[in-house]
Amino acid sequence: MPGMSTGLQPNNPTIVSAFHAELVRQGLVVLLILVVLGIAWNFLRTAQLRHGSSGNEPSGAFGPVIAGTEPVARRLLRVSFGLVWIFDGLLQAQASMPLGMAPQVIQPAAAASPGWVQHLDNAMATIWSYHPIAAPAAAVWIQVGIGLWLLVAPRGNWSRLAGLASVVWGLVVWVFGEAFGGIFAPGLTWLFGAPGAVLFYCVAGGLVALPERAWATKRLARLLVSAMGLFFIGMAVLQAWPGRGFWQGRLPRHAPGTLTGMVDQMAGTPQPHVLASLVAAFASFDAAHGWAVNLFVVVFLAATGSAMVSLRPRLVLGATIVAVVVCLADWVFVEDLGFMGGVGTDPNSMVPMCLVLVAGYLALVRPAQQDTTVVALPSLSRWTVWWERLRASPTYALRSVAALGAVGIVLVGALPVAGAAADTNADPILAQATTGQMQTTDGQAPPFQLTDQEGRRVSLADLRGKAVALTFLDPVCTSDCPLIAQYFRLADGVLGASSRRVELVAIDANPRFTSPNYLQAFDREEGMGRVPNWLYLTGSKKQLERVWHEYGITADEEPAGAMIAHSEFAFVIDPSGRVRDVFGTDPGPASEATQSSFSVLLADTIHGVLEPK
Amino acid sequence: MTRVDRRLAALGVMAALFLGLLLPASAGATAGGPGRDPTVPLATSVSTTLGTWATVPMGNLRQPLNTFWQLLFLGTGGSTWINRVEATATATNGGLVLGASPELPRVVVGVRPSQELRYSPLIATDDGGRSWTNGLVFPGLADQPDSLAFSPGGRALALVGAHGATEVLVDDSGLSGWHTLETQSELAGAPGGRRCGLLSIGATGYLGTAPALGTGCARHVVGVLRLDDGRWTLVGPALPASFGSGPVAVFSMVPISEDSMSVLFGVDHDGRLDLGAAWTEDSGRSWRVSAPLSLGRQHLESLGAAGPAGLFVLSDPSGSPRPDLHVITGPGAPWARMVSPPKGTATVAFVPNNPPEALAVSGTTLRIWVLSAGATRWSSHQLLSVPIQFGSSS
Repeated sequence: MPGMSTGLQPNNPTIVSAFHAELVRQGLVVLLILVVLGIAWNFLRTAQLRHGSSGNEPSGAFGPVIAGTEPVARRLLRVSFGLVWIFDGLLQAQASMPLGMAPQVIQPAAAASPGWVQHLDNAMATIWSYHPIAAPAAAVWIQVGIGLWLLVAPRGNWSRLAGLASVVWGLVVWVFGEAFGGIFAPGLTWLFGAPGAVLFYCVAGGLVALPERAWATKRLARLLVSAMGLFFIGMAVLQAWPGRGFWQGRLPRHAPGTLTGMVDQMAGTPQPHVLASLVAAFASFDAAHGWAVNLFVVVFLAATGSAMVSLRPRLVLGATIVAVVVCLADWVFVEDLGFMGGVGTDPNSMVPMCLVLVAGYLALVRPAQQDTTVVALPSLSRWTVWWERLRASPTYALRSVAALGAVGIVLVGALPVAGAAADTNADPILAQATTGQMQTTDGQAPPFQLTDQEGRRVSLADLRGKAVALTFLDPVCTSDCPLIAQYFRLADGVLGASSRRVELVAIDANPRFTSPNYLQAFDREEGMGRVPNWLYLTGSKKQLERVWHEYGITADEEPAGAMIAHSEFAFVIDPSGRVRDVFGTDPGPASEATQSSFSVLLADTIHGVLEPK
Repeated sequence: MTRVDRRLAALGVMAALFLGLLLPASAGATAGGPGRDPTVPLATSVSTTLGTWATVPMGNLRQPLNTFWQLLFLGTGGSTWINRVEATATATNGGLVLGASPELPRVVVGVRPSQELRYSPLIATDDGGRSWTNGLVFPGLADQPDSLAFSPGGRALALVGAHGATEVLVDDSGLSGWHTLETQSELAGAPGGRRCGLLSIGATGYLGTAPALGTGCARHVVGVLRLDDGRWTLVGPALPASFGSGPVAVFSMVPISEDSMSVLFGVDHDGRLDLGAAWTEDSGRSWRVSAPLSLGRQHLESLGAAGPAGLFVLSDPSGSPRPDLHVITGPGAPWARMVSPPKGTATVAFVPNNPPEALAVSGTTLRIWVLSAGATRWSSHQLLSVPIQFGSSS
C-alpha cells in the first residue's frame, strides 16, 4: 500500500540517533515540567502550612469526599495497567520503532483485513512513515504519561480521567495500530490475541473511569465476569469452527496448520535462543498433535467461560486460576511474550486478559465498602471549593500536582505529533538518511551556455537574480532520474509563492542521447511540462562533457546493456550565482515518504539561499 | 426477564456476532485465472545486406532487473559475433526490438520501456554498427518482436502500447516524427477488422509500399491487414480445415522482398498451439499456406527467418533440457525438425550462405554453436563473456 513504509532499513543510524536525541530533548522538557510542578507544590505546601492544615482530608467540608479504601479490584486494574502502559511506552523507545513500526507491525496487522481497514491503518502508517521521529516519540510519552497518571491518581476525578485517557488512547491503538485486533481478517484466534490486546486496556480504563459507587455492589462484578465468560465461550466456538486449519497440525503437502504456522513464525523472530527453542518446540508439538491441542483449547475455553457465566464464586475462582495458568502458558509458548523482535509494542493479550480476569473475581468476592457524603456550601463556587481543598489537604494537593505532571508528559508526546500529522510533507530527516549529510559551500557556480528542451539558448547568467536548483539527469534513465525529477516537481509545490524566484534546472547526463527530443520525451513522461520554472538543458557531447567536468559530475557508458552511470548531486545556487549547498540525490528506496522528505529538504535549502544573508 | 434469560440472550448475541465475523473471514476469494495468452518471445535474429543481427537476454533470467538484452552482429563473410549493445546507452531490461529488411543494410533497434522509462529510444545504423543515428517513439514499443518495420523508402511503422490497447504509429522524418496511423479499437471497427474479428495487433510490416499489420483474429483467417487508400483491408488467407478451429494470431511478418513476405501464425485450441506459415509474392493478393505444425503446450522461445523464404521456430518441450527447432524452408515445403540445439539456446541465426548458428546463454556467457555440414550435431564455435552489470538497474 502506498505510504506504508519509508523503504529505509529499520536500523538506519541517522534516524535512530535523531530519534534518541529527540527522546532526550523531550525528556528534558518533562524534567522541566516536573521541576515547575515541584515549585508549584512547594508554594502550595507553604500556603497549607500558613493556614494551619491538619494534614487530614476534611470530612465532607468542601465537596464530595470519598471515604473508605479504594476497591481492591479497581486498585489492581489501575496499578497493573499503569505499569503495563509504562512498559509499553518504554518498548516504543526501541531503536527499530521509527522505521520498523509501519512495515513490520501496522502493515502486517492490516494485510489480511478488508480494504477499508487497510485504508484506515494506511493513514496511521503514512503519518508514522512521514514523521519517523515525532510519531514514535509521541507513543513513548503518551503511554508513559498515561501509565504514570493511573499510578499517581488513585481516587476521584483525576483517577477517572486517567481511565478515560486509557480508553481513548487504547482505541486509537486498536483501530490504527492493531487493525481492530484482526477481527476482520481470517485466522482470528484467542491463542494469538484476538480481539486485540489493547482492547483489555480499554476495558480496564473504562472500569477505572467509572464512579467509585459502581464498585459498591456486586452488579459491576457480575457484569464483568459474565462478559468475560461469554467472551471465552465465543472464542471456544471460533476455535472449534471447522475449515480454519486449527484442527490440523499439518495440512496436505506438508504445509503447516494455522496455529503451527503462526508459532513457527514467532519462533523465527530475533530473541534469546532459549525462548526461541521453547516456542519452536511447541510448534513441533502442535504439528504432530494439532487435533489434541485444539481440542484442549476448545474445552478449556468453553469450560472456563461456562464457569464464569455461572457466577458461582468457587467456580469462578477455579476458572480464574486455570485461566491464568493457561494464559501464561500461551503467553510463553504461543505469543512468545509478545514484545520480542525489536518492534514489539506490548506483551500481547494474555497478561492484560489475566489482570482483567483476576480483577473480575476480586470484584465479585470483595465488593467495595463506601460512604460518600456531600456537604454543599451554597455560597462557594466550584473553583473556590477546589482551591480550598488544595490548601486544606496535602494528600489531595500532591496527587493533583502529580496528575498534572502526568498530563504534561502526555502532552509532551501528543502536541508535537498533532502538529506533525497536520503537515502533509515528510520530515526532511528521511532524505538526509538516504543521501547523507549536505555539504555547505560558497563558491562561484561554473558558468554554462546550453540549449533547453524547446531549443532555446540558456546560460547560467540568464538566471541571475533567482535561486537555482541544479541537477544532472539522463533522459533515458529507467530508475533514479525520473524519481529525482519528481522530487524537484514536489519541491516546487512546497516552495509555494517562492517558486517564482526559483529556477529548477537539469542538465543532460547522457553522452549519446543529446537531442532536445529526448528532453521533451522525458518531460512528457514525468509531467515536467506542468512546472513553469523547469529547464532541461542539453548541448553537444563536448559542451556537456565540459559542464560535467566543471561540476564534478561523471557520466560513464556501461557495458552489456546497462544504463549510463552518472553522479547524482543537486547544487543550490543563490541569486548572485554562488553555490551554497551540495547534496546527494540518490533516491534510495524511493518510497512516498522519502520522496516527500527530499522535496521538503530541497525546498528548505532553497528558502535558505533566498533569505538575505 | 430472568437472569438465566439474560445470559442466554447474551450468549445468543455473542454467537451471532462471531458468526457474523467468521463467515466473511472464512469466505475464500474465488478467482478464475485468465485464459492463456501465448506470449511471443523477443529473442530473434534478422538479416540485412551487411550481416545478421540477433538479440538475446542474458544475466539472471529469473530477475527482470538483472536480465539485460544484448545486441549481437555477425558481418557478412565474418565468423565472429560482436556485441553492439553499448550503442543503446540505456538499460535494456525491457528487451530489444529489431527492424530490418534482407534487401537493405539498415537495422533499427528499439529499447523497450522498463521501470520508470515509458518511451522507447531508437538507434539505427547503416554500416553494421560503426555509427548510429538516434530517434525515439512515445509511448514505448509493444512487447512483440515485429513491432518495428520500415519500408525501402525510409518510412517506419511502430506498434506501441500494451496488449489490448495497441496503437500503430508511422514516421516520415528520421525516427522522431511519429504520428498515430491507427488504434486497435478503431481497427476493430474498420471493415477489415470486423471481417477478421480483430482481437489484437501482433506484428507490423510492409506489403509493397503499403503498411501491413499482423493481427489476432477470432475468425478462422490469417489476420494480415493492408492499408489501401486509407482503408484497412483483410488480405490474409482463410485457413484450411487441417488447422481446426480456434482464434488465429499472427506472430511474425518477415520481409523477403518488396512484394514478398512470410507470415508465421498460430491457432489456439484451448492452450494447445498449432503453428502455420503463409507466403505471398504479390503484396497479399494471393497466398500459399503450409501444413500445421502441432506444438501442443510447448512455450515459444524464439521465431524468425530461416533463409531467403524460410521460417524457424524454437520451442521448449517440457521434460527436455534442449529446445526443439523446427524449420520450414518455403512455400510447399514441409515442417522439418532439426537436431535440437544445445541447452540454453535463446535464438538461432540462419546466416546467408552459412550453416545455422545457435546462440546459447548461460548467465553471463554466450556460446555460439554451428550446425555441422551433415546437420547432425552442433559444434561450439565462439565464446563471449558479457560483463553484465548486476544491480545497476535497481
